[in-house]
Amino acid sequence: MSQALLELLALYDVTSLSTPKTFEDLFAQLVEKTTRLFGAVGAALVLPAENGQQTVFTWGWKNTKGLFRYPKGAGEHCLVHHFTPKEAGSLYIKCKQALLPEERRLALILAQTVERLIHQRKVEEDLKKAEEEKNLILDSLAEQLFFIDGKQRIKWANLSTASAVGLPLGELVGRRCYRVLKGHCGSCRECLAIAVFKSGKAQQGVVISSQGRILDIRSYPMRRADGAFRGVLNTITDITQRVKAEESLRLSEAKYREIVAMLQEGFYEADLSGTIILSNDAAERLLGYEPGQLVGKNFRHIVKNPYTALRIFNDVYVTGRARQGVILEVKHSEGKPRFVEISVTPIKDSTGEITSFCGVARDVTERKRHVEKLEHYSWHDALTGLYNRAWFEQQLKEIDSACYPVTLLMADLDGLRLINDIMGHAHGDELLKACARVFKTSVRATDRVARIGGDEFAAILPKCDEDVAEIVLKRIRRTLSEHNSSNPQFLLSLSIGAATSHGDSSLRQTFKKADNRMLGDKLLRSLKQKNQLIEGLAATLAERDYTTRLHVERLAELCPRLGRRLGLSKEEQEDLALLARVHDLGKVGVPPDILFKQGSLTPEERAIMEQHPEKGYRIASSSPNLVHVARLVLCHHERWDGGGYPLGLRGKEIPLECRILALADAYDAMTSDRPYRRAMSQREALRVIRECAGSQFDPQLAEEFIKMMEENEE
Amino acid sequence: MCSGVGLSRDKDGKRAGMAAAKEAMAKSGPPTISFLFTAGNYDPAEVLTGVQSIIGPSKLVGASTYGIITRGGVCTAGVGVCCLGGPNIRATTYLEKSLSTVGSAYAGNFNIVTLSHQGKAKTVFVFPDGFGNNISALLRQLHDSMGPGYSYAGGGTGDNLDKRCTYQLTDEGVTTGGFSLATVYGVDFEFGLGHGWQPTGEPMLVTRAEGKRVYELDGVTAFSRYASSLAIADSNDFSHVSMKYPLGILCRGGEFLLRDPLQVGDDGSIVFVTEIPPNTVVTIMTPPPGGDVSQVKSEILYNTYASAPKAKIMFVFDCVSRYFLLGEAFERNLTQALAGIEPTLPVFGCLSFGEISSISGAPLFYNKCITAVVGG
Repeated sequence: MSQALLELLALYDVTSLSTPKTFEDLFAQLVEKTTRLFGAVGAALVLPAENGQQTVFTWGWKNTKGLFRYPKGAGEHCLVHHFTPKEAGSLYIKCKQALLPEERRLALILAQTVERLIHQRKVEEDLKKAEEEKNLILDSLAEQLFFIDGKQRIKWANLSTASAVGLPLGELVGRRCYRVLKGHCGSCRECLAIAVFKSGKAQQGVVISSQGRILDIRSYPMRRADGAFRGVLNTITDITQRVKAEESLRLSEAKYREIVAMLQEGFYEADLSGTIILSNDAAERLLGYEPGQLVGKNFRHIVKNPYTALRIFNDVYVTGRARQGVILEVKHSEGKPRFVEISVTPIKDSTGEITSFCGVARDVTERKRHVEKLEHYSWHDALTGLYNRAWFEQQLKEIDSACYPVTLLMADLDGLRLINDIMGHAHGDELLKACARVFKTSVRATDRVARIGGDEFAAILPKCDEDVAEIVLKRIRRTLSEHNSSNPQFLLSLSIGAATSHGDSSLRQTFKKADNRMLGDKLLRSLKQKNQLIEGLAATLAERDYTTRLHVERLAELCPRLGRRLGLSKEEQEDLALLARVHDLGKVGVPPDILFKQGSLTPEERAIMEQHPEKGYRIASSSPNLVHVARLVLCHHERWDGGGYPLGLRGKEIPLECRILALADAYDAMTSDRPYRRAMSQREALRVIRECAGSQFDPQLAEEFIKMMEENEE
Repeated sequence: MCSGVGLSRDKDGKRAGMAAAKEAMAKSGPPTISFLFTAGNYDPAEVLTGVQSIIGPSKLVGASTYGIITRGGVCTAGVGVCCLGGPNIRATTYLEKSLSTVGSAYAGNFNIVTLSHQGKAKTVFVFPDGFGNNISALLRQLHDSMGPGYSYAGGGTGDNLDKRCTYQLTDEGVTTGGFSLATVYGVDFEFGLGHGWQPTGEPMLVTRAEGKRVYELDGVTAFSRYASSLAIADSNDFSHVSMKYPLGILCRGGEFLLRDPLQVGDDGSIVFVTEIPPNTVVTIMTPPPGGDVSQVKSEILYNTYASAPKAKIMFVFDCVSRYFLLGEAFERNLTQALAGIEPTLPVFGCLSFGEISSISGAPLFYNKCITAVVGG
């Protein structure tokens, strides 16, 4: 055989490698051919593996170290072929004898054939792997997926489709889709695939299967690269659960909205910028908005202090914790200030990220005012509006050192108890209010006045030394005097003391000093104050009833006249005259509607009226000028027979002056006109007196009185 | 090195083994390595016992064969022993009990003991079951397992074709259906191989094959393609023709590896004595002009002997098919071939079922060849 033919045979041999199932098989073929054709005593094939490592096949090697480095001096015995690219692999053949040029050429062809097969195998493996991955992905889909050609034959389907149909996958391919999927003999009515065929566009529809499942069907045209129509890809997704869930969600949302709408409290939802995205009617009413007007408004436009709202929302955002009981002043649409109490709750998404806020709101304007009022009252005296003792005591502890020098005023309203007793507490309260007004109008704007006791007042004058304090005191007394001039029925008498601390003594000590000075002032002014008081009361009584004044004047004449007839001393006659003038002083404490009632008094009214001798007694007792007639005032309504009041004295237990006053008082009352009767004549009046002698009147005195009056008539 | 060959035709296996061993040892002295072949229906265990009782602790390797080759010719019923001894000779043996461990894989997995040795005087004698499968792959596995630097010789073991049951032996024992192996260190061997057939030049591609059966050649049924090339009328003529016209697989240097067709299957496939891998280019081989393939024997034996200046032993492994083909002319041809070789040179070998040689590089399994291994 010629060399050329031998070479041709060898060429034929080296290019005749079968496509191996594994790389081991390929290497075995390589070893067989190289040992036979080239006398190879060693071969190695290096391939890259998927994990970055190399896969090395060797034969005839004891030590693979130095693989692919040409051994020294053995180059002629070896062939090294690197694939393209080099990373794709390398092939090494070692021969017992030096390779002839034609053998090296053939060996190279063999190596290239091996490379080509490896590459082809790799491509096939990659393709197979890709196909497997594709099928794995498509078969793992819950959705049914199948591809049909222009004649509606199924060319490919995934496992879900086969499961849904209940046929093995192999039985689907090649069959008409309507026959396999629907059991129809022909195309389905309104077949989406046919619509795709006709229009060339994707189609979508929702159908209900015979089992009641809701199916979303989508059909897509599939085209080749050249645009030629290949078929239709169909996806069927069972959306029954999703539809039910959506419906359930819709119902739940509707219910939620209904609940929110029905809430009596305002409800809101705001985004992270503070813009309202949801609100109910109650929230809108709260702010005076029309329905739908609140949504879109930002919190900073609703609240009076946007910074406060921002701080609260930011705190909730940062901490993730809800806040309750936050009170904000909001701008009502009508402009009037309102206060609302809101809660702020963060709303989080499924990842825990805060996406918005929600909360409820209620109008607490009245409550706030009430609370403020309570707070006010906790520090203020309800009657006068001044600060109260608690506040004053707190100030004594906490006053700032920058306020020094500090002057403390201590004042006492004189005779309040007496006034309350005589005139009643309402009159006493009016005096207290008047006193408070005097202080308020007299002190400086920085000064603070407090009512620290029933009739005690105190003032804190910051940055006030002795000289300034004196000025303030003078202003108080001036105002007081002006008040008394204008209000004789509400005469005020204040005992005032002041003391100043420059920081060298405690305010408690300063207060004690002021109190002492007030007491000193009171002592100095006591007698004059009491006389002023009684004169004031008498003036009050006279102001009330002019007839009473005339009656008093007549009695002041009659009583001493009888006293003279009976031989009373001068002093006794003066007492009698005084008694005549002040015996009814206690009537200033009787309400005018009882005092001047024209009809009969009810038992309750009579009881009040019969208190006036005692009241008169207390008034007279409190005045040095009247104290000596106080008992006479008390007994001026006693009767000879003991049927009088208030003590029920009888006979000569009743003081002579009172027995005399009783005769004169009764005679004058009978002989004076009253709104409910005309005056009696003297004769008639004396006759009554005669009749009542021994019961109402002292009989002896009655006889003397009658004689005096008859003699006077003559 | 000293060598000796002994042969006994005693029907008793043990006696035959003892006698053959004595004869061999008488010339070699205490052996380092002994070769044992049996031919005929001997109990290999008895033979082994007999031989070992004489050779003592010597390493031993051997097998059953169709015939034992000595200077006296071919003995088809007897026990032959060849002993090699000398101070520089070392040897190891290995017995593999089954060829089922051999697959198509190339990777070696045998626990063969090797000794360190400088130089190229390392020779592996291997005797696999000649009826076994994939002997070519076995040789590649051995090469991979042993490593580079070893020369290979040997042949497939067989029997007298009565029982088709082969034996392989080492000093460790006997097995059947496996292979026996001996590695000899310290003896320089020269190798020769040849068959005498020539390629016709018409290439064919083995398009489908599995194991020893070839289904298709050039995409058509194997027999039809083979028959068309040789103008065979039908399969009845196959056996007459196939022995003369094996297929040849191209080897290095323009040589051809012969593959003996054995029989035709009902499906038109052809079973060969040895595997032909698919995608192999083959050509029909023909006897040389005149039809005498025996001429190559003399050439091979003489050339190999001539290349070994210190020849102390000549191993001859001749394919049994050549024995069948040449008939009576075989021994005549052997005698003629040995006539040109020093008469005192011991000659020992066997009729093998396939021949093993690494003359071209790695060990290959040949058919229808004569191999000569001369060493000293």
